Amino acid sequence: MEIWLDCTISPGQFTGEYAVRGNLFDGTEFSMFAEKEDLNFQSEPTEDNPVVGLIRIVPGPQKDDLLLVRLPQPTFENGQTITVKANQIREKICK
Amino acid sequence: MILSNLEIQKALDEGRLVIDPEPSPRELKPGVKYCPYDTTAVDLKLHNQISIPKGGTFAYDLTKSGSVSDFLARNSMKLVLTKEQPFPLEPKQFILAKTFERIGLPTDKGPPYLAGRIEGKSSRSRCGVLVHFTAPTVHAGWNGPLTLEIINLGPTTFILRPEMPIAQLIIEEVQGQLIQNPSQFQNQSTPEGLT
Repeated sequence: MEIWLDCTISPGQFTGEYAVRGNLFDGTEFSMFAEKEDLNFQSEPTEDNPVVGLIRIVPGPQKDDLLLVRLPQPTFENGQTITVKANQIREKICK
Repeated sequence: MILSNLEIQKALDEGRLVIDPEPSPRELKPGVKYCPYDTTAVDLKLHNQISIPKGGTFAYDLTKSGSVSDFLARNSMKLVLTKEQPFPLEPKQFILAKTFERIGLPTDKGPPYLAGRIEGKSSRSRCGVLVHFTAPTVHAGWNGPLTLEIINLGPTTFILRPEMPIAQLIIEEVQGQLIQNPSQFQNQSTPEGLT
């Protein structure tokens, strides 16, 4: 089972790298760079057309509807582990 | 404690350290010109992708939540180097690059955990080129290529070629247990009791 977090994806500073934006539990935005292997999206984003997608996470402790999750890379604002709401998380069965 | 070259290779074999692709050969033999393993470090190569920050009438503001990565990406130019078309790094020019190798310091194999430090190579520094001049620590748990901040402080052009040895990675053993980065919560309104 893979666990993913909702995010918005646009091109990064290198080919194969992407700029990722997401939200903490209180709506505050975070941003980071991530490699393609840690992302899931349907169509290739462009500068003018960011796409909605998912970023791979490792879930941590949960309290009520709040969850600590570890991202694949550090964010610019909040380090590598952030708090999100449980309904921001997606599960995907690995084949 | 810094790992010796043999301990680095042992860590690679045990999966406590991942360098992908693995630097080779592991030892010098007659007829072999180059071995990436120094006594206490292993060389890393330059990826063919570089990123050149653009100048302009704007300023970076890292306090603007959510927009930093996007802004940095929009204001940089991506280039792919080839053997035929290397990159001439001019004096005072700054670029971002990354290592050819993906580095992994998994925390599911320890303790003892491993951390790393990326450093320049003296041959490059003698030309006035800094290949990595901030944030050298590769924390336990890291997984990915390492970003290089390269600047030419020398008086002449320096040629960057894909897969040239560009930096060296020092591996250290972490003393004690670790928890996942508690300090980051200092800037975050984490719900009380969650940590």
